[in-house]
Amino acid sequence: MDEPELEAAVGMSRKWDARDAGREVIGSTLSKLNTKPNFLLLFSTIHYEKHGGFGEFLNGVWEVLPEDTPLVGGTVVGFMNNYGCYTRGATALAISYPNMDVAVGVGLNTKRNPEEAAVNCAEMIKENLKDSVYPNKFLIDITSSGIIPNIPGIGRKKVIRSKFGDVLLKTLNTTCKRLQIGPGREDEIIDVLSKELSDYDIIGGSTLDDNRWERNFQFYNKEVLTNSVIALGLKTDLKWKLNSTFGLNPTGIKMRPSKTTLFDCAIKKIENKPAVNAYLEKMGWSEDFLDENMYRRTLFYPICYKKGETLCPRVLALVIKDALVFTNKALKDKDMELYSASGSSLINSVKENLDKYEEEHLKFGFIVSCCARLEALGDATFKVHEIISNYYKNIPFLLFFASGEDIYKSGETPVRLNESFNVVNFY
Amino acid sequence: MQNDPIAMVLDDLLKFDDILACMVARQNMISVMPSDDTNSFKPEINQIWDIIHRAMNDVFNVIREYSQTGLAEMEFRLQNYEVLFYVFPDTENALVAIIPAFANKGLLEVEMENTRREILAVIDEQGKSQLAAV
Repeated sequence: MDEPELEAAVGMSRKWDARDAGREVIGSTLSKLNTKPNFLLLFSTIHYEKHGGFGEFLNGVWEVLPEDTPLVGGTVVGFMNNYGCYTRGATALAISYPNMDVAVGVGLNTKRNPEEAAVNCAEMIKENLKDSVYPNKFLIDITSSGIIPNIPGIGRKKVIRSKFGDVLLKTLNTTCKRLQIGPGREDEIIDVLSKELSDYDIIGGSTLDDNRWERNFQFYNKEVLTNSVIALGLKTDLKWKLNSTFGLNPTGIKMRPSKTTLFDCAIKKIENKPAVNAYLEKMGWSEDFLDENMYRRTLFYPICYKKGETLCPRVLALVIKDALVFTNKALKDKDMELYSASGSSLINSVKENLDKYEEEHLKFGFIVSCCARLEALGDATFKVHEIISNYYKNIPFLLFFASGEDIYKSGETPVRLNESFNVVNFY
Repeated sequence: MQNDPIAMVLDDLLKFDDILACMVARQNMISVMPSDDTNSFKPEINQIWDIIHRAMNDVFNVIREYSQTGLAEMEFRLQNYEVLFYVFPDTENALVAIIPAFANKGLLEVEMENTRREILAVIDEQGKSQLAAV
């Protein structure tokens, strides 16, 4: 009996005009398919916001994309595909395969009520795939990332050592719930998604702008959303392998947060000392290391804890008075350890990841990598592209740079990651 | 300059908010600017352009000396600005961009490299056309 044919296609646009880019990215994708796609993943950089807007971008997309094609995606820091590596433009991955059922889910107001958003999203997936007969279940989730507040008189600074810092932290708790400005609360979302859809494997990540953390958008069929979680559920007879690597090395420098706030994203005290002072002491850094370029240094020194057997790195995002603020949870009363990375360790971790896969029968690859790795490597990211391209050759792949990554393997502990490199290959 | 394909590649790069100026240059000479000459530098550069230009010329001394031996990139920070040089292999020319000191440089570096590659492709194409015309 003939094996059912799978077609995978990756397209791209580098046009500046939003509508033109929407048309071109879909046109270039569909031109490689002979049949209507089962679904389409669509990612773009934030630049179209000022060059027509994302409404126009999706108008361009739907001028070409067949009606009712399930579409999910959002704005990302950058992307890679078979064509190259980019921090400006749009890309898409479309799959056409007869033995696959697809459902799209959405949950709104993720920063206000992440649990409700995740439950709503999961319910849509379950409901729409309940009649599917295919045995294997996979989910891609795309979530809105955190937003750095624009504080009157201060702006969007990364280091705020002012005496008003404590008030600011308390205000952020409120603005997150009321105005949806603050942490993305993605840890809570992946926890709920993995509980509701426990027999699915999950890969995902957060949408962002150009690493300014000011705004981000999610694409859900014909809608442009903010503060939402979007998911694409698959039931199929395809198989896959999912693997994460980091390229981080333990330093032996440990720290135990004794007081946290802001949904556990901010460490106020380490071993009962003000967190910033304790952190600087352990790092052997002086106060003047905490400037607006701090992010470029701390990228190479994430603080990590283990959840189950998996390393959960956290990259320092902000300093507010005595508190270290991360984009995701740093757990209270749990040992954390400082890890170190270098350009070569980050690049080698890509090869280490891909070496674990067999190349035979590979149909397509989907990769979620942290935007911190892109910012850390800069144009050395082209070396990463070379490794990935040599691995996939003519097999379509798409990588998007997310502001934090989600991984869940059915039956294991769900994890929210930073600075990770995650590959799922379908066979 | 209007129809220069290299100027059009620079136009694309200049559309980034954090690219304050960009050009293809060598010592004492700016070879190609973005196509709209009157607006090709963002206004905040004007006040610091003279000192940056002088510093650039000094950097081009180093580029001239070492480009044949594989020098690919250089950069310096001056006041609140950084200047990035992406050298065209085996030449004294470089793609130059001025960015704010606290920009997300990693992201910009990716598009600097794409721009360098696009310009090299244009030069390659021009070379082939000239050869064909002989």
